[in-house]
Amino acid sequence: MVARSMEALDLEGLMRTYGNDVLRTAYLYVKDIHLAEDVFQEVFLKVNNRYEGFRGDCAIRTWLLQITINTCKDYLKSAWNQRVETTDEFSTQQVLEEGYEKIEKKEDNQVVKNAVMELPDKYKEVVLCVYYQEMSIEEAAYTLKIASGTVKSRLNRARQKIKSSLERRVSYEETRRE
Amino acid sequence: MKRQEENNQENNKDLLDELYDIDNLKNDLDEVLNLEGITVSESLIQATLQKVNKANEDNVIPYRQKVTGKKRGFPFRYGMIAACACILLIAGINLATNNSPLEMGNSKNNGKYQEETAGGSSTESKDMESNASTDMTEDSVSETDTEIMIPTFFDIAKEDGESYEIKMSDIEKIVVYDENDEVVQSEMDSSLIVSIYEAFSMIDTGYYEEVLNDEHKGQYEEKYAIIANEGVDWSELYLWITSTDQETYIVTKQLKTSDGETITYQITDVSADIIQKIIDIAP
Repeated sequence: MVARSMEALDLEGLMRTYGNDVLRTAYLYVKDIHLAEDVFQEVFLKVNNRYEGFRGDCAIRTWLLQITINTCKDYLKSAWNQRVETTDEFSTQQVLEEGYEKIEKKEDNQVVKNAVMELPDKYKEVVLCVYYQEMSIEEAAYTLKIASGTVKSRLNRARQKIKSSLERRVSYEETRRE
Repeated sequence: MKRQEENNQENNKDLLDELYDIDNLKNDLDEVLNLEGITVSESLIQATLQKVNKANEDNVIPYRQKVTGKKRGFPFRYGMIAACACILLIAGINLATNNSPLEMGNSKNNGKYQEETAGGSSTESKDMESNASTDMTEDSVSETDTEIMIPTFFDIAKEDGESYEIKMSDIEKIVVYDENDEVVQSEMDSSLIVSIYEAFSMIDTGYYEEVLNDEHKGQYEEKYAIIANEGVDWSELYLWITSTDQETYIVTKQLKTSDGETITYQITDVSADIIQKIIDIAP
């Protein structure tokens, strides 16, 4: 543990090795590449400030993603507080329209992606950690600061929700055909 | 009719299987999310390194400012002390020149005494009017006081009218449970506790429905156990958030007192916005 803090911080090396993971995770949360890049910079500023305190309790990648997720959540909280109602309505409208268009074009990946991205945050982040970032249940639990059992139960609930979301889309398509 | 429904369900299942097999999600998510195009550019790395270097340089300056800032702090503190002393002095003078509450109470009694015993001289009747107006003022003040005493979310009333006040300073910790009653968070810093306390305080307590000593039943979204410090007259406060529809929630709060008493209240029609804020604090 002491050795960990003795190691010199190779920030550039970390960015080159794990930068894509950080940027993509940020993008999945904030849904805008420019905002994701801002988050990326903030994450590595935090890494620079906190590296001394990192005791090596987990893999460095897990630690980086934990900082990324927390930074995104902080951003979304402040963005949520500052949002204007009409903007939100417009974006909801936009998502709906885009969703229907995709069904018509039968772009399966996009439909599944929408189903994942429309999950409530607590389910979405578990799916992204375990399925996308390929973390173990324990790593996801550490990253998200929740119990391992909660990761498992949320993963299960997330699958159910994705399934029912896809079923709703299928029903919608069926109705349109009739 | 039933047969048609069954056929529809089968068709839907076929369509769903055709659309996507959920079991493949783990293997496919990389392709589904399609994030290959999102990569870290060289310019982003260089810009970040520059920002970090600048922050490292700036870190030296705030330290110096901090030291000089401390020196500046002394006059500021003296100023604050002087301001407080002035306020206390003015308050003291006001107290000395005005009637004390005790004297006000006496004048009220005098009014009654005059009403019962005195004759009808004009001076006395003016006194009575004056006293009556004093009474009116006092009544209106006490009415205003009553308005201020509207119970907040963290005032839990007993049947006898008294209430337990859950103060932020009395809270030792807050444990958050998910919908399966598993602990989501048990160790949170004080700022998070403050945020949760403030978010729950936003719930309008105008829709109380008392559920006397009844345990919470049924599925809930989240549960919070607020644990008291030692030496407080309550031990635990449980809060259950239950979803009713997309727009409103029910919040059930149950206080366990140090005497082993249990007091339960249910608040209906709590806005989804408030609940979302609470859940976002400790997801």
